[in-house]
Amino acid sequence: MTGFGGYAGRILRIDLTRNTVEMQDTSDLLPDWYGGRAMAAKIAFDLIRPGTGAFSPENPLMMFTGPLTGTSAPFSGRTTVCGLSAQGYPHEWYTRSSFGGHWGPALKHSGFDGLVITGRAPHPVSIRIDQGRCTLEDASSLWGLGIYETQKRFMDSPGWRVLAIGPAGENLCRIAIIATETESASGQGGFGAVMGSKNLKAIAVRGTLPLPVYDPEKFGKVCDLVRAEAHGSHGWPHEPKLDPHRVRMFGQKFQACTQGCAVRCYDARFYTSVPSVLSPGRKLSGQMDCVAGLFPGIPNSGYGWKLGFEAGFEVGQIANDQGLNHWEILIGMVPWLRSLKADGSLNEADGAPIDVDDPVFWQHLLMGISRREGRVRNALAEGTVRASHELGIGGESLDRLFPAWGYAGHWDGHGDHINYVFYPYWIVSALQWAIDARDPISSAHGYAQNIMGWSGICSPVHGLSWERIMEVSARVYGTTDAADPRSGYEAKAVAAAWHGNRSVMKDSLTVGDQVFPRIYSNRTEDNYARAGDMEGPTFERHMFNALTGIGWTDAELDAASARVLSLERRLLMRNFGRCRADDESVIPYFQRPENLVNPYIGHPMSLDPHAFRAQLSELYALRGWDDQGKPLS
Amino acid sequence: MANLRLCVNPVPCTGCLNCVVVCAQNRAGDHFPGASAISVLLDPFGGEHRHLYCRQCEKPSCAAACASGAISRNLVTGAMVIDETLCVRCGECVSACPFRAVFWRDDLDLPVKCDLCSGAPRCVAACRFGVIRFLSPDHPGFAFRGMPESEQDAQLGRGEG
Repeated sequence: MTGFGGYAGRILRIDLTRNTVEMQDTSDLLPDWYGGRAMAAKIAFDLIRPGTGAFSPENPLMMFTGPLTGTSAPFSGRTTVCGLSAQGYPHEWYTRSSFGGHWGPALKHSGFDGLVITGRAPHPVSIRIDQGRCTLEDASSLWGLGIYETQKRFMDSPGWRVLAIGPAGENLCRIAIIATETESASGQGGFGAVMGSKNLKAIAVRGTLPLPVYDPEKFGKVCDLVRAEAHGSHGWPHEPKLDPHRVRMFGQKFQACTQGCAVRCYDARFYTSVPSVLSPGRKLSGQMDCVAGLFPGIPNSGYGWKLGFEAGFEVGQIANDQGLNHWEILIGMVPWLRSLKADGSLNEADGAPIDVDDPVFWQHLLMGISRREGRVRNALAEGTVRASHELGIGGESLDRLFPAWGYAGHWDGHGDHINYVFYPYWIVSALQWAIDARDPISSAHGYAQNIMGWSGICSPVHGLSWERIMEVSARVYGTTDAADPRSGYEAKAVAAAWHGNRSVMKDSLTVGDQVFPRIYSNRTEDNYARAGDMEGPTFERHMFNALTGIGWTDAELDAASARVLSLERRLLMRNFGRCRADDESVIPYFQRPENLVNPYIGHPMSLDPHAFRAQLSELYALRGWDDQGKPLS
Repeated sequence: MANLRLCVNPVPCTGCLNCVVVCAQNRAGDHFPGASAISVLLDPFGGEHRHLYCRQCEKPSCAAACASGAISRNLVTGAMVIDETLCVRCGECVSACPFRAVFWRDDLDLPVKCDLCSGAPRCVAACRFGVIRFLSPDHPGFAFRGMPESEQDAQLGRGEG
């Protein structure tokens, strides 16, 4: 055991080339590398030599839980995946992705905080971990199966939680996911292809072993308070409702996208019975979360294809089952194909006319990508950015949709048209994009999404005034400038630094990004989130301390999280030559006019490179990095 | 209080398992799902999760199966509770429960079942979606609307129990 509560105490190190399983004590990493992403960063820095690529057998594919994972801490069911990424561009940078469902808690209760998987099996294998026992099994009979059927093959008795890849991962599609259940996936990063390159089809876990709690009474009380306080799903302060028509027609219901979720979410719905459009007579069931809500098409949004609900649901399930990244398809690839069709540079994909209103085209597209069939779809299996270069088409559209590093836009105010964010808030997004190696928003929704969500723009009835948002945010950022809609570049580096650390914290503890950090509330007089005598942004630290006994202050937990970002940065610099010029390569993207106009300004804004560079320098300084972005310690 | 029981409507269940982890922590101190006296069989592909929980039956099979008389009703809460000092660990109660709501706790080598947390069930407080409620069987909402009669019996603990 580690001497701290919350940890299982061991990490499994599996070498698929040598067919060996070894244990590492988690206590080797504690308390500094306190969970999930932090532990993975330390292991990666020590293990990954320069010259290693995403598909090198030496690339460690890591799945890590954190101390809070699966405990009575609310929203704590998540697992963080780390390693060199297949999707990363222009380099297969080290990065992370995370998924929900119920797999991570089962891994911990099976006796392990995380897995480090290296090597390449000579034939398809799966890993089975049952109450502390780990075995490698032949998976030749599973190779080629979809993610749903693969999971079902392990679920002959209750309690098994399965993580799997589909044909897309097997065929090394750089936009392949690793998934569990029907809609929980490590989506961005192309880690499905990394898993496929190791000939690893699935990881099944089952466990009910006990985990110690440092102060059970206090931990239970803190968790109860935090669970009761949480509201809204991500800044939208009112409770979402089911659609009576879809309840009646399709069995719509709320479904947690991660264990421990304690809110009714805007984004997560399960459907028990949706008629198939592509195979009439069949009924489909599954979850539809988050960006998958775009599959049906949304008029006048930039995603205005006309599949309709049933076909959109079915196409989304095909992507899940084949193991393809929803974000890439919906925010990047299909809008890119639409623009190519519109300007006449690409009219058909491997014999099928590009018709995004036709579910048959989507099926042809997705099935062909996952199987790498045909010239166009085989190129798209490399991800849209690489496909554009390979096919020699669509460069202008690519520059409009993909901010950096091979990932489509996300809360950036320019390429992503579904999330409403205007100047000056996307300056923080731009800073986050600049220093990351992937789309940074996955665990950093807490700035732009929270501010916009709580504002009258997105919540005209239940939202807060701008003045109140500024007052509350000043408690977090130390200045009203960080969230003032009339502000410019000032204090944006402060917000970017703060949320960067919180991103690490969420990926390390682990807790859900759509709820934490708790900042705004409509349950307190001053609209600052509180529970008992705890302030909202300290909830994670209170739960962490009561569970583990590590006893850090807010500043210590923040510093430990910042240390992770610096170590990840040092890894990128050492192995890939990452430098300030790379970071500044995001500038042209943000120099385009924004999508949504700030009502205080009245005309579309774009990035001022000079002011942005000053904020980037300030962000480096806040991180303890030099002016070239190199960590000083 | 002696008349209040757990009432489960699985339809709004989101599969969050908060009821399970909170019960386990309350019973074991440690975080230990094996200590929980409620279980949810998740149905990730069909969305119809199934709850294994004690009805505190009017005619409890667990007590009838217990040769050592270790299971009796707490007259304050109305819960059927196990007296661990009398239990001979035969496991007959686990086999006898028609609702699969008596669990075996490996670490203690003892059966565990819901004791209604001495009258304030933690799972009820932890459930944010109204799946698990604590009601009198006479309450009009106890057997929720649309529930088949056979399941109403089960909900009331009157079925095979």
